[in-house]
Amino acid sequence: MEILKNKSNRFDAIVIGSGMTGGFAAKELTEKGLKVLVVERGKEVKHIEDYDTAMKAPWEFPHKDKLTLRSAEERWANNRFNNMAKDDLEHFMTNDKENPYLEKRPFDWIRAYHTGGKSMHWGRQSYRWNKQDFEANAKEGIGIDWPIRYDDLAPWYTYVEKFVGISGQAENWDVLPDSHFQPPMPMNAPERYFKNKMMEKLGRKVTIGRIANLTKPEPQQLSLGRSSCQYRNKCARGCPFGGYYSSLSGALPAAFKTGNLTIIHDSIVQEIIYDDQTQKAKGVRIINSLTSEVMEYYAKIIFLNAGAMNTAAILLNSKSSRFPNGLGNDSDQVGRNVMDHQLGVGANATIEGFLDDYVIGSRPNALYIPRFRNWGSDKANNFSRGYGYQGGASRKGWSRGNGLTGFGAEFKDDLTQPGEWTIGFGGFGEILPDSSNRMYLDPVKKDKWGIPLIVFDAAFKDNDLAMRKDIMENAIEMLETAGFKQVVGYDRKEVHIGLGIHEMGTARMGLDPKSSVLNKFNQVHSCKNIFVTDGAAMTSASCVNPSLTYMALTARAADHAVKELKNKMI
Amino acid sequence: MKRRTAIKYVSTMLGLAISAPTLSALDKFSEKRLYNKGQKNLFLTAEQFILLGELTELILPKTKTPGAKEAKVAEFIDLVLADCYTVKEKNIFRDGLQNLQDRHFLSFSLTEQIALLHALEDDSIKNRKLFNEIDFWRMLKELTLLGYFGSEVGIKSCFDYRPVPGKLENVKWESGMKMIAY
Repeated sequence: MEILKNKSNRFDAIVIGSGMTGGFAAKELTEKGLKVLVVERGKEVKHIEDYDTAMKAPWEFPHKDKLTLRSAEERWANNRFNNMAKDDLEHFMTNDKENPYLEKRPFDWIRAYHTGGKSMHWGRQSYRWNKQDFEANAKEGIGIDWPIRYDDLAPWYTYVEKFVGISGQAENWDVLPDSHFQPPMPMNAPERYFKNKMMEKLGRKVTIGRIANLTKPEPQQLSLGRSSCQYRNKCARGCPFGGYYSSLSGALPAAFKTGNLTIIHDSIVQEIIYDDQTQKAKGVRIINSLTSEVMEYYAKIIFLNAGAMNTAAILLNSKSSRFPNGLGNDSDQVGRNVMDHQLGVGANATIEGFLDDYVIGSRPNALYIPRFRNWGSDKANNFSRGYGYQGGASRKGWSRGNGLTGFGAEFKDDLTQPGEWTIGFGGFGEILPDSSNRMYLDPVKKDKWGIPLIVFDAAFKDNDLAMRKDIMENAIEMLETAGFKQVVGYDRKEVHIGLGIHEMGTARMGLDPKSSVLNKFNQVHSCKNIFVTDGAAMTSASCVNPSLTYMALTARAADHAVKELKNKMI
Repeated sequence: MKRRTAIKYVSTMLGLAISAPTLSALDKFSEKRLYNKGQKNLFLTAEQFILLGELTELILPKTKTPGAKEAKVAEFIDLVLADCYTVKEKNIFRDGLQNLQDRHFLSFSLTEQIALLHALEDDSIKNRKLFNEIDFWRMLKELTLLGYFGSEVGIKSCFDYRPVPGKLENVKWESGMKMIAY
């Protein structure tokens, strides 16, 4: 990836963060002709070139599936997500010991400080929100109303989908609006059986996951050197084929093509500089994480896309006489309303039969069961909103030997044959906005660059806990209804808010500056040349995976920003 | 020999001295143990390492595919013990090996060795209070499977290794096919 050296420290726009939304903001703004500086706090990762574990064979990882004590100590938070920082990913996940945070109440904060951020490692599930998702807060009197509706975002969804490339099945369901799709990935035999049983017995919908992996690349993707998914299912290590979308494989290369992009790494934004005279933000002050050198960069507009928690932290740390409690924080809502999605609750079962069915290729995708609770005539009696399930069926491999009695020649040779089919589903539940779920800056404790540490003070509330129970019970019911055996539910008690890695809500959009931070175009109410378009902007959480919505909001805000610049409104 | 009889027989063997040829083999091995040279934190002693090699081969012996020894499973386990296991877990494993050393496991016949491992497994299942409670036998078996089926020898001999499948296709399983590893 070429880095263009800008002679001056003045740009048309500064984008803070190079991940899912920062990358997209950079693409949009550079394509509209702006000179853009992207500031990334982590190290540089080059697309393909730096995916150093992507093509390694399983035996090339010395500890295989085991987590080292060193990683467990250094990546103490990241490893709460299924011991994620093993030999293949450790060096891409943030060293939590060097980048600590504080937990007044536990928060599972998963971070990847490098070019592309978590977009390199994301789950790639991509769903549009439905109309209700934007209206429910107002109808139910929860939190505040969204300042936009589905129709405001619909054309931007389409715009993003055509660039990103989403594979999926058009279904024409109100609860899960269709995207612009590339062909769906196939279900396997037991999954097709399950899908039919669910519709027949429970009237419940099942579709193949909608995922940002290419199945039939279109010119927009091909022109960036991206090709079809190869069904290796090692996406999190980076894909040398550009088979899945990330900021690295898509937005940043597109932005570089314009010749308008400069990106700097190892550069931590300490604060956004507010100009009292113009009543606008004039730039950012950064600390080089390697040299501790302090630099300032200036621009007409700033896109703040540091990831919901760091985005809020930067606002809170940007204090001035106008904003003593943090930039744009007149409402005291910056850092509040922390949301995520429920994770770690569901059920598994084994399937009898289908022993002559097998699959070639490792599908990096699952089935999706859209929300059915509190939808249409279905009413849950003890919680509001709903959840979707993701999961699927696969044949057991050699690791089933751990659960079997015996050893020796016959045992070994049996394990080289496919085992029975197993199936499982986990819920992704909507968490409600609650101002007491929050993060803030510690008044005393600082990191090694002198920036205040983030303190988390959030937890599941009654609605969330009631929903968790329902998620497990319904997963069990579905698997039993399908006639599967050894159905076992689970609700992992060690899961905290954050583990869904869909953190959002800390600088929410709204109509009223008294109760929200951003307006309907993601501009900070009280400082309109700052745009926040990552998860922080979310007014509610829906239950579907959020990245597609973040990108749509980003593209829409970038379009507005450039129009406003041209009209000299900002 | 019936299994019960074998276990009974094995238990009467306890206390026998280790044979001279075995001791000699141990000494030889100590000198030859060169893998991961320079790495300081490997965990097992030379004697324990030889014993572990035999145990892994009993769990996954050479059949029409290579066994655990050829896949160097003991080396993997030693590395994992050193780098991945807590002191408490390390001690459970070390004590388990020590117990077999004290019983002169390597001086037993193959039949006796197999019987003793079956007895270990029976005890492990019987004494397990929590589903995820670890003991020596579970660690040994789990690490042996991971070390073998995650090794180049194991993967290439047992499975159809396809690092880049390039397609996703539902097919019928037919005899003679190999499971695919990715």
